Amino acid sequence: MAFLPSAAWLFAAASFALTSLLGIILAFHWFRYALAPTAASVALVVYTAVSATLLFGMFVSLIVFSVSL
Amino acid sequence: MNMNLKNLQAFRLDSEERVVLKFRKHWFILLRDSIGTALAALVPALALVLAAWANTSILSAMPASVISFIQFWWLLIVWLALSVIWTNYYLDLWMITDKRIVSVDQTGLFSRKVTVLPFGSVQDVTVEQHGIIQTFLNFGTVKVQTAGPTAENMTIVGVAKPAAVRDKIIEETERWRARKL
Repeated sequence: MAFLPSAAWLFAAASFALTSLLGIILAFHWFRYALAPTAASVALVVYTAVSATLLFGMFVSLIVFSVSL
Repeated sequence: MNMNLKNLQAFRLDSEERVVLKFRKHWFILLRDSIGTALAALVPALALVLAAWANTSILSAMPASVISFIQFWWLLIVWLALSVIWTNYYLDLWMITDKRIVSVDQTGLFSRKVTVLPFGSVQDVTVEQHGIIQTFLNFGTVKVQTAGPTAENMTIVGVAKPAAVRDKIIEETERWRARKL
Protein backbone atom coordinates (compact mmCIF):
# COMPACT_ATOMS: atom_id res chain seq x y z
CA MET A 1 0.00 0.00 0.00
CA ALA A 2 2.93 2.32 0.72
CA PHE A 3 3.98 2.36 -2.91
CA LEU A 4 0.62 3.81 -3.98
CA PRO A 5 1.28 7.50 -3.11
CA SER A 6 4.76 7.33 -4.67
CA ALA A 7 3.36 5.78 -7.84
CA ALA A 8 0.58 8.38 -7.94
CA TRP A 9 3.10 11.22 -7.52
CA LEU A 10 5.23 9.80 -10.33
CA PHE A 11 2.12 9.48 -12.46
CA ALA A 12 1.12 13.08 -11.75
CA ALA A 13 4.65 14.33 -12.50
CA ALA A 14 4.63 12.44 -15.81
CA SER A 15 1.25 14.00 -16.69
CA PHE A 16 2.61 17.45 -15.88
CA ALA A 17 5.67 16.83 -18.09
CA LEU A 18 3.49 15.53 -20.94
CA THR A 19 1.16 18.55 -20.72
CA SER A 20 4.09 20.99 -20.71
CA LEU A 21 5.86 19.28 -23.61
CA LEU A 22 2.69 19.14 -25.71
CA GLY A 23 1.99 22.79 -24.87
CA ILE A 24 5.43 23.79 -26.17
CA ILE A 25 4.96 21.76 -29.36
CA LEU A 26 1.46 23.13 -30.01
CA ALA A 27 2.52 26.72 -29.27
CA PHE A 28 5.38 26.30 -31.73
CA HIS A 29 2.88 25.27 -34.42
CA TRP A 30 0.37 28.01 -33.56
CA PHE A 31 2.93 30.79 -33.69
CA ARG A 32 4.96 29.47 -36.61
CA TYR A 33 2.32 28.32 -39.11
CA ALA A 34 -0.60 30.27 -40.50
CA LEU A 35 -1.97 31.81 -37.36
CA ALA A 36 -2.24 35.44 -36.39
CA PRO A 37 -0.21 36.23 -33.24
CA THR A 38 -3.40 37.27 -31.42
CA ALA A 39 -5.17 34.00 -32.20
CA ALA A 40 -2.04 32.03 -31.22
CA SER A 41 -1.84 33.94 -27.92
CA VAL A 42 -5.53 33.27 -27.17
CA ALA A 43 -5.05 29.57 -27.97
CA LEU A 44 -2.02 29.44 -25.67
CA VAL A 45 -3.86 31.18 -22.82
CA VAL A 46 -6.85 28.82 -23.14
CA TYR A 47 -4.59 25.75 -23.32
CA THR A 48 -2.59 26.88 -20.28
CA ALA A 49 -5.67 27.83 -18.24
CA VAL A 50 -7.54 24.56 -18.82
CA SER A 51 -4.43 22.40 -18.37
CA ALA A 52 -3.44 24.26 -15.18
CA THR A 53 -6.97 23.81 -13.76
CA LEU A 54 -6.96 20.07 -14.43
CA LEU A 55 -3.41 19.61 -13.13
CA PHE A 56 -4.30 21.65 -10.03
CA GLY A 57 -7.27 19.34 -9.41
CA MET A 58 -5.03 16.32 -9.83
CA PHE A 59 -2.38 17.56 -7.42
CA VAL A 60 -4.90 18.70 -4.80
CA SER A 61 -6.55 15.26 -4.91
CA LEU A 62 -3.13 13.68 -4.58
CA ILE A 63 -2.19 15.83 -1.59
CA VAL A 64 -5.49 15.01 0.11
CA PHE A 65 -4.87 11.31 -0.54
CA SER A 66 -1.26 11.44 0.73
CA VAL A 67 -2.25 13.33 3.90
CA SER A 68 -5.09 10.93 4.65
CA LEU A 69 -2.74 7.93 4.79
CA MET B 1 -7.83 36.93 -41.07
CA ASN B 2 -4.32 38.20 -40.57
CA MET B 3 -1.92 35.36 -41.34
CA ASN B 4 1.80 35.36 -41.52
CA LEU B 5 2.24 33.97 -45.01
CA LYS B 6 6.02 34.07 -44.83
CA ASN B 7 5.79 31.21 -42.36
CA LEU B 8 3.98 28.81 -44.66
CA GLN B 9 6.78 26.33 -45.08
CA ALA B 10 7.97 25.67 -48.63
CA PHE B 11 5.82 28.46 -50.00
CA ARG B 12 6.53 32.13 -50.54
CA LEU B 13 4.27 34.72 -52.12
CA ASP B 14 5.78 36.64 -55.00
CA SER B 15 6.28 40.33 -54.43
CA GLU B 16 3.18 41.35 -56.47
CA GLU B 17 1.12 38.26 -55.70
CA ARG B 18 -2.27 38.88 -54.11
CA VAL B 19 -4.27 36.44 -51.97
CA VAL B 20 -7.83 36.27 -53.27
CA LEU B 21 -9.35 33.69 -50.93
CA LYS B 22 -8.27 31.77 -47.81
CA PHE B 23 -10.34 29.02 -46.32
CA ARG B 24 -10.33 26.04 -43.98
CA LYS B 25 -12.42 22.91 -43.65
CA HIS B 26 -16.06 23.25 -42.61
CA TRP B 27 -16.71 23.34 -38.84
CA PHE B 28 -18.61 20.06 -39.13
CA ILE B 29 -15.32 18.28 -39.94
CA LEU B 30 -13.88 19.50 -36.63
CA LEU B 31 -17.06 18.45 -34.83
CA ARG B 32 -16.96 14.98 -36.47
CA ASP B 33 -13.29 14.49 -35.59
CA SER B 34 -13.62 15.63 -31.99
CA ILE B 35 -17.05 14.42 -30.90
CA GLY B 36 -15.86 10.92 -29.93
CA THR B 37 -12.98 12.31 -27.88
CA ALA B 38 -15.22 14.93 -26.24
CA LEU B 39 -17.76 12.26 -25.28
CA ALA B 40 -14.95 10.20 -23.74
CA ALA B 41 -14.80 12.91 -21.03
CA LEU B 42 -18.02 11.42 -19.67
CA VAL B 43 -16.53 7.94 -19.17
CA PRO B 44 -15.47 8.40 -15.48
CA ALA B 45 -18.88 9.83 -14.54
CA LEU B 46 -20.62 6.97 -16.35
CA ALA B 47 -18.33 4.44 -14.66
CA LEU B 48 -19.25 5.89 -11.25
CA VAL B 49 -22.96 5.74 -12.03
CA LEU B 50 -22.58 2.17 -13.29
CA ALA B 51 -20.60 1.10 -10.21
CA ALA B 52 -23.18 2.68 -7.91
CA TRP B 53 -26.00 1.03 -9.84
CA ALA B 54 -24.28 -2.36 -9.72
CA ASN B 55 -23.69 -1.80 -6.01
CA THR B 56 -20.07 -2.95 -6.19
CA SER B 57 -17.69 -2.65 -3.27
CA ILE B 58 -15.01 -0.95 -5.41
CA LEU B 59 -16.38 2.52 -4.74
CA SER B 60 -16.61 2.15 -0.98
CA ALA B 61 -13.08 0.71 -0.84
CA MET B 62 -11.59 3.60 -2.80
CA PRO B 63 -10.99 6.98 -1.12
CA ALA B 64 -12.82 9.92 -2.69
CA SER B 65 -9.49 11.66 -3.35
CA VAL B 66 -8.33 8.73 -5.53
CA ILE B 67 -11.56 8.81 -7.53
CA SER B 68 -11.17 12.56 -8.00
CA PHE B 69 -7.49 12.10 -9.01
CA ILE B 70 -8.47 9.57 -11.69
CA GLN B 71 -11.25 11.86 -12.98
CA PHE B 72 -8.94 14.86 -13.29
CA TRP B 73 -6.27 12.74 -15.01
CA TRP B 74 -8.81 11.40 -17.50
CA LEU B 75 -10.13 14.89 -18.27
CA LEU B 76 -6.55 16.07 -18.81
CA ILE B 77 -5.89 13.32 -21.37
CA VAL B 78 -9.15 14.17 -23.18
CA TRP B 79 -8.19 17.86 -23.17
CA LEU B 80 -4.74 17.14 -24.63
CA ALA B 81 -6.28 14.97 -27.35
CA LEU B 82 -8.81 17.73 -28.22
CA SER B 83 -5.99 20.30 -28.41
CA VAL B 84 -4.11 18.15 -30.94
CA ILE B 85 -7.29 17.56 -33.00
CA TRP B 86 -8.06 21.30 -33.09
CA THR B 87 -4.48 22.14 -34.05
CA ASN B 88 -4.53 19.66 -36.92
CA TYR B 89 -7.84 21.13 -38.08
CA TYR B 90 -6.69 24.74 -37.81
CA LEU B 91 -3.39 24.24 -39.61
CA ASP B 92 -5.09 22.71 -42.68
CA LEU B 93 -5.77 25.57 -45.03
CA TRP B 94 -6.10 26.54 -48.67
CA MET B 95 -5.38 29.75 -50.48
CA ILE B 96 -6.24 31.04 -53.90
CA THR B 97 -3.93 33.79 -55.07
CA ASP B 98 -4.03 35.60 -58.42
CA LYS B 99 -1.39 33.15 -59.72
CA ARG B 100 -2.00 29.74 -58.12
CA ILE B 101 -3.74 27.54 -55.58
CA VAL B 102 -1.92 26.59 -52.39
CA SER B 103 -2.87 23.67 -50.18
CA VAL B 104 -1.39 23.23 -46.69
CA ASP B 105 -2.16 19.82 -45.25
CA GLN B 106 -1.25 19.19 -41.62
CA THR B 107 -1.55 15.42 -41.26
CA GLY B 108 0.09 15.16 -37.84
CA LEU B 109 2.04 17.22 -35.33
CA PHE B 110 5.24 16.70 -37.29
CA SER B 111 3.80 15.98 -40.72
CA ARG B 112 3.00 18.79 -43.13
CA LYS B 113 2.47 18.90 -46.87
CA VAL B 114 2.34 22.11 -48.91
CA THR B 115 1.13 21.78 -52.52
CA VAL B 116 1.24 24.63 -55.01
CA LEU B 117 -0.79 24.43 -58.22
CA PRO B 118 -0.18 27.17 -60.83
CA PHE B 119 -3.26 28.27 -62.80
CA GLY B 120 -1.41 27.32 -65.99
CA SER B 121 -1.89 23.62 -65.20
CA VAL B 122 -5.56 23.80 -64.15
CA GLN B 123 -7.77 21.86 -66.57
CA ASP B 124 -11.06 21.31 -64.80
CA VAL B 125 -12.67 21.99 -61.43
CA THR B 126 -15.45 19.80 -60.07
CA VAL B 127 -17.52 19.84 -56.90
CA GLU B 128 -18.85 16.78 -55.08
CA GLN B 129 -21.41 16.79 -52.29
CA HIS B 130 -22.70 13.51 -50.94
CA GLY B 131 -25.39 12.86 -48.38
CA ILE B 132 -27.88 14.83 -46.38
CA ILE B 133 -25.38 16.45 -43.99
CA GLN B 134 -23.12 17.81 -46.73
CA THR B 135 -26.13 19.06 -48.68
CA PHE B 136 -27.81 20.83 -45.75
CA LEU B 137 -24.62 22.26 -44.23
CA ASN B 138 -23.27 23.12 -47.69
CA PHE B 139 -19.83 21.60 -47.63
CA GLY B 140 -18.09 19.06 -49.86
CA THR B 141 -15.09 18.25 -52.00
CA VAL B 142 -13.53 20.39 -54.71
CA LYS B 143 -11.34 18.53 -57.22
CA VAL B 144 -8.89 20.47 -59.36
CA GLN B 145 -7.71 18.42 -62.32
CA THR B 146 -4.44 19.28 -63.94
CA ALA B 147 -2.93 18.80 -67.37
CA GLY B 148 -0.45 16.06 -68.23
CA PRO B 149 -0.32 12.33 -67.47
CA THR B 150 1.96 12.69 -64.46
CA ALA B 151 0.42 15.86 -63.06
CA GLU B 152 -0.95 15.70 -59.54
CA ASN B 153 -4.58 16.64 -58.99
CA MET B 154 -5.58 18.66 -55.98
CA THR B 155 -8.47 17.47 -53.82
CA ILE B 156 -9.89 19.87 -51.27
CA VAL B 157 -11.96 17.80 -48.86
CA GLY B 158 -14.60 19.11 -46.46
CA VAL B 159 -14.60 22.70 -47.65
CA ALA B 160 -17.49 25.07 -46.89
CA LYS B 161 -19.43 26.52 -49.87
CA PRO B 162 -17.60 24.34 -52.43
CA ALA B 163 -19.45 25.84 -55.42
CA ALA B 164 -18.22 29.32 -54.48
CA VAL B 165 -14.66 27.99 -54.19
CA ARG B 166 -14.94 26.33 -57.62
CA ASP B 167 -16.30 29.55 -59.14
CA LYS B 168 -13.45 31.55 -57.61
CA ILE B 169 -10.82 29.11 -58.96
CA ILE B 170 -12.36 29.23 -62.47
CA GLU B 171 -12.66 33.02 -62.34
CA GLU B 172 -9.05 33.49 -61.24
CA THR B 173 -7.78 30.93 -63.78
CA GLU B 174 -9.56 32.76 -66.61
CA ARG B 175 -8.26 36.10 -65.37
CA TRP B 176 -4.72 34.69 -65.22
CA ARG B 177 -5.01 33.30 -68.78
CA ALA B 178 -6.35 36.62 -70.07
CA ARG B 179 -3.35 38.39 -68.56
CA LYS B 180 -1.00 35.90 -70.25
CA LEU B 181 -2.48 36.47 -73.74
